[in-house]
Amino acid sequence: MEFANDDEDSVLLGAAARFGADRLRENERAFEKAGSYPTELVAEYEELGFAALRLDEGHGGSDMSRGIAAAVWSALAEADPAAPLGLDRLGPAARDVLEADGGLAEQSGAFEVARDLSIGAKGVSGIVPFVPRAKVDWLALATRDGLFLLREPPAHATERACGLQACSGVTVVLDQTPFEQVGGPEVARRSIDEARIFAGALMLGAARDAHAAATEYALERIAFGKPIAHHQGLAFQLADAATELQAAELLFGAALSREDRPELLANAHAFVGEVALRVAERSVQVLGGHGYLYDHRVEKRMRDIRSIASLWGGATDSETFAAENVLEFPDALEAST
Amino acid sequence: MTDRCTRIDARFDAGFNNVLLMMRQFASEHLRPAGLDAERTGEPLPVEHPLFVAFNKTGMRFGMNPNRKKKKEDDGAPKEPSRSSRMGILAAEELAYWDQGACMSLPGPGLGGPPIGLLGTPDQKKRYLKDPFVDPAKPAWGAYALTEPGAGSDVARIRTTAVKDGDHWVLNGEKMFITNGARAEWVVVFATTDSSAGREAHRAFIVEKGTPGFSVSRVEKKMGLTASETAGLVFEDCRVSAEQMLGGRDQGGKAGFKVAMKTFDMTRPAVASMSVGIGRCAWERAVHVAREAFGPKPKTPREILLSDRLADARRRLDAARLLCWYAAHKMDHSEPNTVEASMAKVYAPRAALFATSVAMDVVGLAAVNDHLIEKCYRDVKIFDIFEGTGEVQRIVLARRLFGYPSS
Repeated sequence: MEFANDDEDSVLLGAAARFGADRLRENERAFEKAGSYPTELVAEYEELGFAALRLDEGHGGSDMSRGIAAAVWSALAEADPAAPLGLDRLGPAARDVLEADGGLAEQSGAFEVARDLSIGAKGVSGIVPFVPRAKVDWLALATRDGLFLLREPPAHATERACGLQACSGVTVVLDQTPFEQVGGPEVARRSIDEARIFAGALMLGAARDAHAAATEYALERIAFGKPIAHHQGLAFQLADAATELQAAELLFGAALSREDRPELLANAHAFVGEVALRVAERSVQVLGGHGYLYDHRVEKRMRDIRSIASLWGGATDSETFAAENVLEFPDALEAST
Repeated sequence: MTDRCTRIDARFDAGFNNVLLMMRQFASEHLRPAGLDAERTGEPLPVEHPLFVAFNKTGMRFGMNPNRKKKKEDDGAPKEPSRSSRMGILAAEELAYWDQGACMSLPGPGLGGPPIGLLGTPDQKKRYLKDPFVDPAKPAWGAYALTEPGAGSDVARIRTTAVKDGDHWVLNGEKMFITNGARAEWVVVFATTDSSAGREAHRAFIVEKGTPGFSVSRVEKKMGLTASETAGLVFEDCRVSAEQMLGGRDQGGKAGFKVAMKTFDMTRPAVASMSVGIGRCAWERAVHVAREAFGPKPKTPREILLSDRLADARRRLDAARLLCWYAAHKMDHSEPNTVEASMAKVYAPRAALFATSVAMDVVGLAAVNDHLIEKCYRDVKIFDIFEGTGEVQRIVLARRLFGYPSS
C-alpha cells in the first residue's frame, strides 16, 4: 500500500509544469488557431526529454515508468491538453512499430484501434475519421488479432474538429491499403494499454485545470453579495468535483502499477473519462455565459476532453472491455501474498 | 487539490495481509452468523449472545486511541511511519464485509474510547478504558452520546445542560442514536454549560450505568444494521461528581470540540471503509450469481447491460477504497488529512449504495426477499448519514479547499 512521489519525480514534474506555464498556457489559443505547434517548440519539447517518454532508450526514448510518464503528460495537459499529442510525433504504439522498423522514428506516426475497419488478404478498408496529426507517415492499427502497420496511408485534412485543433487532424481513407503485421494480440493489447495511459493522463490534467479555473472564477465572481463559490449549491458541486478528481487520480495511479492486470487499466481509463467529462462540463457551468466564450479556457478544456475521450477506441472501448471481463475477477479485495 | 503521487501501489505486504486474513477468519465464523441471527429476530444481538465472549477470547480490542504513545526509538535510525490507521481501515472493510451491524455490537469502549484516550485523566483511563474490559467472560461496552433529537450535524445546538451544583454537575436532556447506549457501562455525554455560547460551552462527562436520573428511553427499530443496538438516553436531574467531567476538570474553550474533530480525521476513513466492505459483499455475491447464470462472459443484451453496471460499480468501489487508504496513509505519516478523510466519507457510501443496488438488479426479485444483498442495501444507507452526513463533508471540503464561510 504505497502512495509516493520521490525527489526525482518531483524535479521532472516541476520541469513539465514550468514548460507548461512558460511555453504552452499563454499560447494555447494561438496554437489552436494555427492548427499546429511551431517547429522550434517541438524541438524544445524533444530536447527537454518530454517526447517519447515511454519509448526505450535504444530508440531514443526516455523509458519512463507508466506512472511517471502519465504524471508528466498530465502536468503538460493542465497547460494545454493538445500539446502532448501535437508535440510528440510517434504516438502510443511506437515501441512495437520501431522494433519492426527503426527507420520510422523520424517520421510522423499515429495509432488507432480498428473497430470499424475490415482487414483481409487484400488490405485494410474503411475510414479512420479523425487522427490528431497534420500528417500521417505511418499508422499502427490494433485489432483483437494483432498490431498492423500501414505505411503512408491515404489521408486528407479534416474540417474543424471539436477539440485538439492545435494538432490539426486528418481523416484516413483506406481502400485495400496494404499492411504488415507487427505483432500478435499481446502486442496489440500493450499498445492499447499505452493509449489508455496517454489518454487518461491527458484527461486528468485537463480536468484538473478546468476545475482550478472554475474554482478561481467562483471565488472572484460575486452574486447576491458573496462569491458564488460560497453559495452552497455551487460549493457542493466544486467539492464533489474535487473529490471525484482525487478518486480518479488514485484509481488511475493504482492501475498504472499493475501491468499484469489490463482490466484494471481499462476500468481506470473508463472512470477517468467519465469523471473528466463531467468535471469539464460542470466547470463551464460554473462560469455561466462566460464559460461558453473563448475568453476563458474552460470551454477549450471541455472540447479537448471530449475529443480525447473518443481517441483510440475511447473510454467506451475500455468500458466494454471491463464489462466483458468483470465476471472473471470476482474478488474485489484480493488477499495478496 | 491534494498532493500528486507518481507511484501508487494498492497491493499490501504480509503484515497487512495477515490482518486481513485474521479478520476474515473471525468474521466469517462469528460475525456473519450473528448478523443473520439478528435479522431473524429483528432485534439487536442480546448481551448474552455467544459472539461477544468469542470476540473477547480472540484478544482483539477495538476503540481507537489517537493519543497512544509511540515507543521511543533512540538508535538514530529514521522512524518508520505508523501503520495503525491503514491496518484499521483494512480491518474495518473486512469486518463490515461479513456484518457491520454485528461488528458495531462488539464489546469495548466504542466511540467513547478516543475522547477518554485523548482527554481522560490516568484514573479515568484506568477506570473506563481498562478495568471494565479485563475479564473476557464478561463482555462490557462503552458509548458516546453527542447527538440529540434536535441537534445532529449542527452540534452547536445541543440542548442537554450541565449546571454546576457544589462538587457536582447536574445533567438534563435527551440523547439519540447512541450505539450500544442501553447496554453500556458508561457513556461519554456532551452537554452545554450555556446554550447561548455554542461550542465554547460544551463539556463532556462520563456517566456510569445506574446513575440516578440516567435512563434508557428506547431502543430504536431501524432500516438496517439490525444487530447493533441504537438507543435513546434521558438525563433527568442526573448528578455526576466533578471528577466525572472528561479530563477531571473544566478545561474550557473548544478542547472538547477539537477532540471530536481530530477523532473524525481518523474515524471518517474507517467508517467510509466499512461502507466499501458492505458494497463489496453485495457486489461479490452478485458477481457469483451472474457467473452462475451467464457463464464467464455476458452474451445477451441483458447480461451485457448488467455486466457493464457491475463493472461500473467495481470502478466506484475501487476508487472509494483508494480514497480511504490514502486518507489513512496520510494519517499514518502524520500529515494533515482532513480533506482526504472527508473525500473518502463523501464518496464511499454512495459508491457502496450504488454497488448494492446494482447487485439487487443482477439478482432480480430473488434479492428482495430475505437475501444477503437486500440486507447490504439496507445496511449501507446509514453510512452517508452518520459520522457526519455527506452534506457536512461537503461543507468541510468547501471550507478547506476554497474558504467556504463557517456561518
